[in-house]
Amino acid sequence: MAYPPYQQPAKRESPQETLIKIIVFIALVLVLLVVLTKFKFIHTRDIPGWKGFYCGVVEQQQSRIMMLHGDDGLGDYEKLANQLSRFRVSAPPEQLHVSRLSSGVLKNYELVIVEHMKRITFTQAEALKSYMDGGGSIIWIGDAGSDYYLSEEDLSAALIKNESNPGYYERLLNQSRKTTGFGEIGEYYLGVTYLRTENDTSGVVLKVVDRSNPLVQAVIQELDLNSMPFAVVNENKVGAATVTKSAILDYGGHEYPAVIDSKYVGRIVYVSFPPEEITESIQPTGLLTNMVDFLVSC
Amino acid sequence: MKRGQKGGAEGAIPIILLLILAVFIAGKFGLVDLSGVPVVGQLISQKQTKILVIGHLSPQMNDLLAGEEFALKGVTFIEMDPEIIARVTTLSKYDIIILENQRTCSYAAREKIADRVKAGGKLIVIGDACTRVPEDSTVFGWKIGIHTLADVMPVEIGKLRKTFTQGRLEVYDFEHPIFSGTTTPGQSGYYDFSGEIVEVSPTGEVLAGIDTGEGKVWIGMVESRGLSLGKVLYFAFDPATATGSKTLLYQTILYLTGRKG
Repeated sequence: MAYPPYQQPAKRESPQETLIKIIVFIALVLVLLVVLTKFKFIHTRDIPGWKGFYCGVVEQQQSRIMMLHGDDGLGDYEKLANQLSRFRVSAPPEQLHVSRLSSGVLKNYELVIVEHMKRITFTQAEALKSYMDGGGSIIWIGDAGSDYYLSEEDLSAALIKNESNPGYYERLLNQSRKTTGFGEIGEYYLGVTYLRTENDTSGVVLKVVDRSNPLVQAVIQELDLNSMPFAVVNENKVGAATVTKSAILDYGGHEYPAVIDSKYVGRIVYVSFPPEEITESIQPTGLLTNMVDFLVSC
Repeated sequence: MKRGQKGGAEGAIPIILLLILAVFIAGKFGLVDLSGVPVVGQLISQKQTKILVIGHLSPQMNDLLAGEEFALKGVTFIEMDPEIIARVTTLSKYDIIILENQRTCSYAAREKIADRVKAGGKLIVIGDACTRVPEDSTVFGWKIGIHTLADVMPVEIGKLRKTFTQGRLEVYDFEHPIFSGTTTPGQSGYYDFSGEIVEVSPTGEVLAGIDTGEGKVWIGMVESRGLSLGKVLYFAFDPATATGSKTLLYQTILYLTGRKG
């Protein structure tokens, strides 16, 4: 006599098991959101209530901003820092002279603003590249980092490296001769090539060309900047990343890129003129506020 | 049933509790109307409607809201400066927020108001309220700041200048609860209108417009749409200046709070 095949009764899921699955699902979604926020794919304000959770539970502090400056170049970094400190009262930007910059110094800062720092050494440039490779965001202003030079520190470090990596010293000397303008930072990170600086200007007008870009939203269509000095740059492609031009400068019948942003690991914004000089006021303008708000999470 | 194994009814208790909690939360945020349910309705609904005015009410609006009729219906309001809002006030204790006659609002105030709407708050914006920030003439509109008022506003600013116009307020969506009692079902509602108006472009649902009779039709009332719990109603004019404004305003309050008159 043949018996019918035994069928195991379908296992019913208990409410407790369902609850555990829901909790695990919520935890996974939270982890995903943290990663997306950390690497700037989404902003904390994109999702209602997310900013409070992310800043209060995950970061547990306000984002830190570093103002990196040197001794020459476009912009007034103290005025910029002063304007930002009024906008971010509880977490004003910290200031650092570029001579004190070394690898790792910037790792605790979510945003670095580079201004009034025309001269830059190869070691300092490497520290900034390593910061951007690690997911840091940057606002690069005017002609900062457009004049490379070999410092004593560069040469001593190259001589030491040369012992384990023969030819390194010569390659560095060769690189220093070839490097112009922003160098590799312009080519691979900022998305622009530096051409020159226009200092004695008049009748400079900032024109918004991409109203949908959050950096320039609500900025009036044509903003008279009068005698604003600025860096003349050319746009180029940053690897496969998308470079977005949201505003231009109209000067002397020509149009020059003014505000350019791209998504690298973090986000990178290049502004060809010092944004703090738009106003005489101690309050920041909408453009500056937008840039900082866009690049920091908390 | 094996020892220690829970029965079907006992095991479902956590799910039932979760469902009850979800219904209460939905009732609290106005997603479902529980006001008619005995006991529960009393727990969910409040007798008073608290309105926070950021800026200043127009004299006509003030007369309406401070009048005996609204007071008897439990409507109370308080006026506050946007900077106080940004620093010290908790917005969740108010049923409705009205922005009127306050052109400048700081970034902090904008963010706080927008966050309240995103969390389920109800907002009425009148005219050009909050279209500027203090000491900055380089930006204008509700898009100032990243993810603040622009995220919740159902309109974008056209021109900053207010225009005085005369014509008639035309209701486009006369089945909308706001126009209940002010329009006859099946007929379009027309009201005489005379006052200042702000030019805007709608991104939400246009409920009414103002026809000047000279070929120009202004956007009059716009409601936000989307899945957000909060709700924003934009008036390009002062609603207290329109004919039948008392009913229109009261119906607006009832609609936003999810209560019955």
